[in-house]
Amino acid sequence: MPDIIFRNLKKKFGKVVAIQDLHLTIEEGDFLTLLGPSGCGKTTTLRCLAGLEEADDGEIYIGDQCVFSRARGIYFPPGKRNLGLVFQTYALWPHMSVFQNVAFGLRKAKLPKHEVRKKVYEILKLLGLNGFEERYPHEVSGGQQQRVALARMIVVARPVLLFDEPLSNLDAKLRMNLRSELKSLHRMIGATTIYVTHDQIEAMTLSNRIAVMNKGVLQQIGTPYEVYHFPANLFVAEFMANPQANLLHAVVFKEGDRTSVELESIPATRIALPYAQDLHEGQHVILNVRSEDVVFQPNPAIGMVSLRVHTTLPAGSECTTYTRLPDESLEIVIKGPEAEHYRLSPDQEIWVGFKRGNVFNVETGELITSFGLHERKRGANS
Amino acid sequence: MYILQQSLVFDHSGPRYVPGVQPGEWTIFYWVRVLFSRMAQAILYEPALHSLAIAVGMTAMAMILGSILAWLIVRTNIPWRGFFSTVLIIPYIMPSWTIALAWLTLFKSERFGGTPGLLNAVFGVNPPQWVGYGFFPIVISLGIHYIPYTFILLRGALANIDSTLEESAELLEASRFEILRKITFPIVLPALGSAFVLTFSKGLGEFGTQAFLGLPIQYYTLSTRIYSALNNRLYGEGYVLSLILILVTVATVLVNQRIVGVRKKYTTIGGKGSRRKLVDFGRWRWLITFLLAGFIFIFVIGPLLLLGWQTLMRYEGQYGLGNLTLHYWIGKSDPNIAEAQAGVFRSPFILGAIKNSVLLAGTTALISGLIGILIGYVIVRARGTVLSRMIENLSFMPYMIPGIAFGGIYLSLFARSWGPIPAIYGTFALLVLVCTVKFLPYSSSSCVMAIHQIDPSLEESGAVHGIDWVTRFCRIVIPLAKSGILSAMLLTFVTTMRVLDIMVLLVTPKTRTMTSIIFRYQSQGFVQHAFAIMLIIAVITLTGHFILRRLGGRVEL
Repeated sequence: MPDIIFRNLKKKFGKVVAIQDLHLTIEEGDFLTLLGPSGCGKTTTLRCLAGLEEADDGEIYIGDQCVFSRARGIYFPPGKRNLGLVFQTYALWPHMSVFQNVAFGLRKAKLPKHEVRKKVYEILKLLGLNGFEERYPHEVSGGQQQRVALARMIVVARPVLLFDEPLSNLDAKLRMNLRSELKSLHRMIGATTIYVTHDQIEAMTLSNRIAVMNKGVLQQIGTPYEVYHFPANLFVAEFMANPQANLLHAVVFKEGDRTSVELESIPATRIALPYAQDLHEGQHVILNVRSEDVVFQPNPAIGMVSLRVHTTLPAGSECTTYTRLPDESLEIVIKGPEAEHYRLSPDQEIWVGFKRGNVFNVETGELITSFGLHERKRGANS
Repeated sequence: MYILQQSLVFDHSGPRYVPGVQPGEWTIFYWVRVLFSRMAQAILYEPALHSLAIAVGMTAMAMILGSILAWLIVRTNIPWRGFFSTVLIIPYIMPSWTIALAWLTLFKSERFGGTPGLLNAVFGVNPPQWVGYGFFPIVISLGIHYIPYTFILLRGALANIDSTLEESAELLEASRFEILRKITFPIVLPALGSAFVLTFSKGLGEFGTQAFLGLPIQYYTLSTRIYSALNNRLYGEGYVLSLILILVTVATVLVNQRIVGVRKKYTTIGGKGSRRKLVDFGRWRWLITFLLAGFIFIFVIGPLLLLGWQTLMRYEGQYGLGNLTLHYWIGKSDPNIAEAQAGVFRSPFILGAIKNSVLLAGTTALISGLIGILIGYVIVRARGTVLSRMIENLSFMPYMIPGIAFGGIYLSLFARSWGPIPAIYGTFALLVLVCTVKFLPYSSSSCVMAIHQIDPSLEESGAVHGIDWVTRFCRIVIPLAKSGILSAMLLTFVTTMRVLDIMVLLVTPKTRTMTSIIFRYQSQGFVQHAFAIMLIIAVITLTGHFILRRLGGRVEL
């Protein structure tokens, strides 16, 4: 189960930069997700690793083996890189039955017929596909097609597994089921896994490391916890937010060891930033407070500001509330357990404060500091 | 059906064979004569064998070349692929016998053609007969003409394969050849199957090429047999042969549909095909490009140049510069040249034919455009009903019937009067009718596609506002399907312009068309005139297709 190393990887399509100087190390046995919006270079990175795309510059190592190096003229074809890939469209061969699809990769091993049969049946059983051997891909459901693609990859026992948005064509419920299956499969096989998605929830739930990319540039790499709670910059903060990030321009005030800010849209009011450090008086900053870190109460309090409820969107287990200034120049989204919200009615005045959040540099968009109480405070910029 | 009855009745030649019978009496004489008599070998079996051999040969050639070309264009990195892709369609746009005529001027020998061909004149050798006439050149000319069937269908199929299907195999250590054999080939097989059906069934009934290259040495095929029978007023025999040809063609189509249809059905879903890695030939690509360009020059542009040159020669067969003249294009009648036939642009006979052709093609295009949109509307909007399926199949039928047999049917139908309808044989109306029916599949399929793209809700929202059907059809459907209808009409126009096989039995001197007088001039030896008219047709059809492409239309098969 080898490490995977990208060094100085560069790739252009015509004039469009797909990957800009990527450095990335994926440790043995990791489940790493490449996360970003469409066109950010995540799929291209994966295809370069698989050998389906040739990078313009840089090097790629799988274990001790250099599989690609522009400078040294090394290029291993996909079949020689010893890895498996599940495509977004599953890429099941329509003219072969489920059995034939899965057995295709075993033909090189020169196993006797009954061995092949045994192996394929075992894998199909593991993935709950027994009984579908003789069906053709278009005769099974989307979720089953996905499993056939998985089976085809797993049966050849490769030490590196790649996934290119494998769940994006499935409906929400099926996606949840397959996520947990993928996770336990990874635990069982232990292969180094790279998973590409644009869905931040999928990335959080599946992986033990997330690499966020935008416009061909690696933005941040860290554990899901780090990336979610300590986004390295505004892009990551916005991309990881659900449903949307509260980004607020503000000016810092200090009274002793207490820090508060004045929001630019609400002059002469102060919102407290608990446990804030590394900020100085008069500094212009951008606050990012995730919707679940906004607190509210019906009565006025020091360190809180008054807003009006616009709409509430109850969703059973939780409820999202949109609150605004009367002139609509500011909107703050609040999310929490439904019980907290259920008495709120439109146009009601509530008082809003921040439990925790991050502070970004106005010019560079980089993280300055985090405030509030976190369970384990780690370095935000690892 | 009527043609079947006619084949069971004595015609005017009846008394010659069987003394004492009256024309019009019922008989199976012709069927027996064609199928079982001493003459059957010459009338039916040998020509049928020739037809089949030609169809097999030309289909094999067209499919092999078409497949290679499609693969080169879609999957390799040779330069100018877009240009090649366009130019390779040209043989199909021009009449199928263009290459046959060019072939003749090249390999004609003094023994059969009267004057020497180019090869003979330059090198002084008489090419062997099998090179100049009969099976071999017919297969070559038709093979080239029908390359676009396979080429277009396979080009589409190859470009639309989800590239991840091949990439998955690549990741599983499959070699390039293994991928081609185990993945790509099975997936494009349906496309190859339909290319086979189209090419084979069309090739079976082809007339012009077989007439130009076969008749001079009495190399008969089914279609030329039908022609000579009907032309010599041996109607009974001609009708029997027509029916057999139709039967064979329909049988091939059905058998093939069966074979292709039995396999597991699947569609090739387009994936991220654009990111496909192209096969790199390295230094070889220039050699391949050169070969491809040479192929195109010899078989696409070459024939036209050769024919053009021929029209500029005062005396056929003398290949010197001193022999060049524009006489055959613009010259006045000269008693010393070509029996006093004037140049193409001065001869009232030829100008009349051009007028007829344009008028015929225009009228046919207009009518079939109108009928096509109605048929398309019914087929799409009534989808799933018996009516829709019936109309769809019925409007496809004329497509399968070989042109020469189709002409035969109409000859049998309209050579007599039907109640109040007079015998329209020899009238312009008959030509319009036969062309409209024969080419309706083109225009209706084009209109079906156009109407498919109009969401029913657009019309329904009109209906909700209380607008009646006629207004809805004229104000909503027609404007939205406009470009589809226009393409359908243009396509019908160019197809009618270049058609020979349907026409050749039905035209009279009064209703002569460009193609029919080419046929006449060629058989009478006025090749310069024939080739000049041929070039005019080529220019018109190529221009038509150019406009069609501009309109966003496709080359229909």
